[in-house]
Amino acid sequence: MRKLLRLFLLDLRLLTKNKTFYLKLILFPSILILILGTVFSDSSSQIKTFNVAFYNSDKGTYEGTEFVSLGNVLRDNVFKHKVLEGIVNLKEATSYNQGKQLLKDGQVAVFVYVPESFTKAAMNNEQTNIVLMGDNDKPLDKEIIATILDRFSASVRTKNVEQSTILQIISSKGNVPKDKMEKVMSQISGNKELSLNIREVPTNKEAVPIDAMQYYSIAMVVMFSIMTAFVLVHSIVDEKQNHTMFRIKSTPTLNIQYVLGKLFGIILSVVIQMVIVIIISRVVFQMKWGNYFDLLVITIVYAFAIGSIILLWGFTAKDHVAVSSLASPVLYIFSFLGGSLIPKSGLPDSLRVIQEILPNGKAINSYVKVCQGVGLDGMYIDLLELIGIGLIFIIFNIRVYNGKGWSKRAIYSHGKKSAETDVSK
Amino acid sequence: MLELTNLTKKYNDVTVVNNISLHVKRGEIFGLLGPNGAGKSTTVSMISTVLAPTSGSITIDNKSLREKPIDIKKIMGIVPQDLALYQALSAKENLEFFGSLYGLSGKRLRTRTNEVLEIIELQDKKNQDLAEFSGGMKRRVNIGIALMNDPKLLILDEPTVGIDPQSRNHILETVKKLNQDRGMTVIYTSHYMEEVEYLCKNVAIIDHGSLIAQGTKEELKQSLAACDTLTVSFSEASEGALEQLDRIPGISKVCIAGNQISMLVSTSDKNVIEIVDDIKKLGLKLTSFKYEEVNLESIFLQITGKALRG
Ligand SMILES: Nc1ncnc2c1ncn2[C@@H]1O[C@H](COP(=O)(O)OP(=O)(O)O)[C@@H](O)[C@H]1O
Ligand SMILES: [Mg+2]
Repeated sequence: MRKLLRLFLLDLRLLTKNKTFYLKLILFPSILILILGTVFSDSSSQIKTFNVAFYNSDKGTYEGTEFVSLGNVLRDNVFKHKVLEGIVNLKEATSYNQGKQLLKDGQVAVFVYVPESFTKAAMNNEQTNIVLMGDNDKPLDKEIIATILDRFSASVRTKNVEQSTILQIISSKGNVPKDKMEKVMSQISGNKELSLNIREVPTNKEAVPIDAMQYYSIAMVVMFSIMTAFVLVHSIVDEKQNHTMFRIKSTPTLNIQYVLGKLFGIILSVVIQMVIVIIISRVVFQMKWGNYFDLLVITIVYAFAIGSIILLWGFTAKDHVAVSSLASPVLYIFSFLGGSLIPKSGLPDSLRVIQEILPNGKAINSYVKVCQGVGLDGMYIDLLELIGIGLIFIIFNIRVYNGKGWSKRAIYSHGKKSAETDVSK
Repeated sequence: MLELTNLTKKYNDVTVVNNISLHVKRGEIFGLLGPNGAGKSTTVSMISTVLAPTSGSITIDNKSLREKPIDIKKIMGIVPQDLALYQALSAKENLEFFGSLYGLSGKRLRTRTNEVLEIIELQDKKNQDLAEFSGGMKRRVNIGIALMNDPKLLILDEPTVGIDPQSRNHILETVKKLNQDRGMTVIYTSHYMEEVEYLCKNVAIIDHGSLIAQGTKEELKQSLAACDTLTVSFSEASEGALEQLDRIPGISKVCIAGNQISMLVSTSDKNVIEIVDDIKKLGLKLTSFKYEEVNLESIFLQITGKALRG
């Protein structure tokens, strides 16, 4: 046990000498949380259901014999779409002035107005736009509607209602600087599905809904932990290349001690990362997490599983390039399928199954549950499965580490294929 | 102390260590001599348990390495040919870390670290990061680490490659002292004849993974008494001259590579100058010649009939 500790402390000691690691471990997630915070946080930092006043004066037009009114389409097929159920509560105004009044009185967060000749102009490719007015105290709601309108306009190929028009409207209405607004817009429009689907995250009725900021903080921590694991796994390649692995093998150190020492380093780093994210999001954005003990347990168990998996690659990889080359595809695929980029609910059914199998998916689901106030007993199967995954991979790791001649492989990496085959003995 | 029996290592079909059997006595410094690529490091790796032999067995301190690896590792110190150090850490930290892997801790670890720092004479620089060390100093730390567990058997794999003469002397002296003062058994691999000659009583020479000679220094030298090397370079050679070289009395094992010729010469009847004259008389225009007393090259030439590779 003491040796294990020494191996683990050594890794930490070496890490403290590595400046870029600090950057990745602490700075990255912090910056990310801050960005997320700016995107999601404001007086109404939760995406709650909000009211939208809608006045459709669109007269429509005839395409051949068929009557087309884009205003109606927007109302019936977009705002009343079940995806938006629970987010947008549409209130039809009887006139333009009434809509404005509703906004002024604070009864609605956003007022959308479709002008009389909208369809006609759009069909003839003439200049026209949907008017969007928002309550300046609820920029997030405004952004959501703006995004929806943007998508709508894109989908009916109405080039005339461009993002810039909407931006203009928004920025002229409020005191939000335009460049900042644009940034936020591109953030959101880059993640369109996300913005729309977030509200669906809570799966059971009693659960407390979690907001977008919470979801993305979790998703990001989970994603970053994969990156952290990759960064740490580089130390194994270092040890192959500077021959210290050879040396460690020649000392009376058990293979499992070495493997666990590495794994503990990863676990600790991931835990630190999580703690930082929690602290920052708490202090800066008053974000609520759940039971801290539960969070810690999940973090450790998850780090154990994901660390163990990525460690295997570290033991297998010949050099740093090999480690890095796998990092981005794994990061991307795991993050995508695990629900870091698109919430589980936004994934098709077939992928949802995968999301539930992947360690990072399990972790996200568990964190979300904790945020919703579900205790550990509500997720122990996931946790046990994570532990199981970790244990299986530890066995693989030990086998690979034990595979005689691995340290030599690094030295003779120029070698012929003989160097490859000595692994199987 | 150490017994290798029919030790063999193959990578696919390539035999890197071929059926080597050796016996190293307790308390001696044993020299393992061979040119680059002979299989010295591979042998050391197998003794270090880092590499599994394809066949054959290793016994250390009457214990089989296969059966009791941990017991054996505890009494063994390995100095790998390639520096095996954490460059980002200080000398002291390196020693302490590896010491702890040998189960040392607390006061014992600190005391031993200081003792080793004394031995490798780096007390005053112990807190500097290795990155700032010279090659010779790193070599010393590399050795120091292997001393942390006060091993009964110390194995050094070419510990003096690529360092300044001063550090080299220091290392040779240290090894000698460890052996004399503490009775440490030492296996010293090298491709330098002088080092082995200075340190060792018993020597084994390997090439292409095979043992080609073994015995005490004296035995080897005696069998090779007549074998100093002469290397000459020539610009022109008259026809048939090269073929006639080995007919000159005192010359044997002629090995021609380009315009360089290595040969073994016996100087019991004639001196070198006379032999060189004889070569010139054959019609060779010599541009230079080099004469060396019995050394690894000459032993090589004698046994294998070829010049030492790179
Ligand atoms: N992993 C390996 N795969 C293939 N060949 C190897 C491997 N390791 C060593 N060799 C070969 O074995 C030979 C002996 O190497 P080595 O033991 O390092 O020699 P020495 O230490 O005497 O210079 C060399 O020709 C080397 O290329
Ligand atoms: Mg070598």
